[in-house]
Amino acid sequence: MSGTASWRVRGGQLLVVSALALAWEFAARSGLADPDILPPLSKVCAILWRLLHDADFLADVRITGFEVLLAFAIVVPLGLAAGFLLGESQRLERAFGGPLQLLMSVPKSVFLPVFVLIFGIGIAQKVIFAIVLAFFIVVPTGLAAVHSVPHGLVVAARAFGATRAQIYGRIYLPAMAPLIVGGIRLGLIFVVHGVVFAEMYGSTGGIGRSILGWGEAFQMDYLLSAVLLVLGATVALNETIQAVETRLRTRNGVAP
Amino acid sequence: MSQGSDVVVARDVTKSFATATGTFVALDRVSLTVPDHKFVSIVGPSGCGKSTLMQIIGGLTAATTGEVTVDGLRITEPRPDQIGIVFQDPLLLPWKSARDNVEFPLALRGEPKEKRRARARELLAMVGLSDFADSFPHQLSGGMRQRVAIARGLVRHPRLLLMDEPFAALDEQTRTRMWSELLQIWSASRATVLFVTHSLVEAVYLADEVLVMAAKPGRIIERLAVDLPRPRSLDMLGSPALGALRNRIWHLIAEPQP
Amino acid sequence: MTRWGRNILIGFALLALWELLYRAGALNPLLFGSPSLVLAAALKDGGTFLAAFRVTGEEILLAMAIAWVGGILVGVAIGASPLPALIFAPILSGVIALPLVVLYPVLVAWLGIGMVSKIAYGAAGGFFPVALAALIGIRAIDPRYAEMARAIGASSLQIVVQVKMRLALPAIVSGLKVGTSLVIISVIQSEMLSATDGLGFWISYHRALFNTGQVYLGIILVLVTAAVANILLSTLERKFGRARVLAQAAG
Repeated sequence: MSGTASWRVRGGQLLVVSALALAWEFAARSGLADPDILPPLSKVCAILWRLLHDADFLADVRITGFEVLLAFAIVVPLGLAAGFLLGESQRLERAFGGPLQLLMSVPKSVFLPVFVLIFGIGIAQKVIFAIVLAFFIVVPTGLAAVHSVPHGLVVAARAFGATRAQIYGRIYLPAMAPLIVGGIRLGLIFVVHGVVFAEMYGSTGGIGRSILGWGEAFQMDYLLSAVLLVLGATVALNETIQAVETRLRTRNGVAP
Repeated sequence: MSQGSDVVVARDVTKSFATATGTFVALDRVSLTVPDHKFVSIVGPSGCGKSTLMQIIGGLTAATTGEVTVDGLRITEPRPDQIGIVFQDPLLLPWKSARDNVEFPLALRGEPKEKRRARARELLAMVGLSDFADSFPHQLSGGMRQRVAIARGLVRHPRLLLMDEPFAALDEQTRTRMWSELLQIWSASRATVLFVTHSLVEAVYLADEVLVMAAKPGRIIERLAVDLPRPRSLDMLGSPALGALRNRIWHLIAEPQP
Repeated sequence: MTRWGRNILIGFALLALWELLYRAGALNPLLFGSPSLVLAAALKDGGTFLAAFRVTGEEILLAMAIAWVGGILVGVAIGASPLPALIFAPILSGVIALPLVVLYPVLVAWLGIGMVSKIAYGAAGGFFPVALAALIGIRAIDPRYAEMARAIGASSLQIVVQVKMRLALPAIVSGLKVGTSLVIISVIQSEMLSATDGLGFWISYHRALFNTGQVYLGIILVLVTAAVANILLSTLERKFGRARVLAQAAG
């Protein structure tokens, strides 16, 4: 898209977000909405600022962050590796492709109670649940990444006498890069989702548990500030990784 | 409407666009008339604006200045009762049968089922596809699909049939066969036809009159009468008369024009 | 042996293995249950679970209806012009990436702990993928079809409904598939978090009491729900889906 047109799009998006923020603020302040149920955005932001300097809240943030990082660090290499293996071997793909599809379509959240039964409500069940949730998304991405390498390139490279290492490093990796980054992004999203849900369901710490607690205590201002933090952080992460993904895609000459 | 009057009258039609580098004039004061029941073809190089002219006459695009009337009616929007249009791609709806595609303009107008069926049957017979009424577009060949499109174009009894390079995507043999088909359909339907093409032979073989256009800016540079006898037959394709006309057009297009 | 026959045989074999391991004491019954425990749970609490199944089913269906209709209307409306489409497509796909589950307590505070908050949350989950798919679907269609429809006298409404939406149907249907699966996941999650009824609620309830048979009974019912929805939507996809239309267009 041309430079001049894209600023209109960006401007439009900024407009939409600002309009929503203004609507929220106006609705709460004007009495359109009960300010106990929907505190104004400004008040929520002020509370968020306070929370970010509160030791207990920061402790929760650290717990959640740690769980997300741990699950992410495990599931992404594991999932991508499994995906690559399936992509490389037609036999394995045929054997495991079906069960993989099946497990993908299952609502895995329903198994969280079993994880809690087995592991209790400590950190383990949350991390393991997040890993399971993200695994079945990352594996197909790894598989797709392998399949996305244009076979013609590999054949040409071999004809030119490239070694195995060169083919992997110079052809496979750059070709698969956008999809790998895509897998990383999806893995992160599903890990965040898994951790937050598991914290809300059964946990002794973490932002999710605080969110649920504030909701039950009807403390809407604290609840909404934590919600804003989680959603804002996820948007920031998602957009950043997506920018990298798009750049890799255009570099490869693939349509975004 | 008395016989011999003009169905299409275009007066000083101009189409220009503002672009980053200035004004681009696609059509510069184009005027033409198309007499009733005649077959007129428009031929010219790429970029001469012949498709734009077709769009303006069909009411799909507005002219910047100038006016077009069809059957005395000023054209500023599509007029499906007066004008039928056949595009280069048949653009048949893939989920509808041939019959349903032909009926579609009538269905949009809310005509009762029996009337629609009868009219569609009539037109499918005219284009020689009675046996394929229930077939779907993906089951028909390119030529057959275009014939369905022609039937659809004629379904509302329009005075004028506009055809914008309808055979350009067909292979040569199918194309030649379609010429004979089209001439038969034309004489059966008695519509007036305005036919845009970039094939010189096609322009001459089908028409009573050929309008030759040039580009930059788009304009009509010559009006040639085709005095080949009707009905046309395919062996005329090799005749010196057709060859001479073709050469004349070629020179007009190839040489720089004032 | 057909593929279905083979799958059913494998299913039975796994069930038998599960029961065997339980009887042999190899698996902790508290954690892993067994087919016999599930059967016992069904006999004891079958009524409650069937009622819960109905509640969950109702929530899912209502949420689906809102998400499907709302998503298609909004997606088609936005997709009608290029600039709004470009502005909103990334916003919609951005929202899909969010852990919307954090909004559920807000909905409970506003709408209560009953079915309404779950239907709302489920509908929110399903709305965005449906809207995005409808938007992309409408944008991707060949604009010449709309021009042809104008030429034959179709009104703007007729063009959108009879031509554009029908052409975008394969994309819309794939969006419906994703949307529905998100609705089901959202409804179940919400029932597990704050509820008074529904399969998610009863699964959690029995987990706290270590009634493993009931827990697995509930899980099985949820899986059945998901499977049924999957089958229905796959049929829909086969009827209107991409492959069929491509085959028709290619000819």
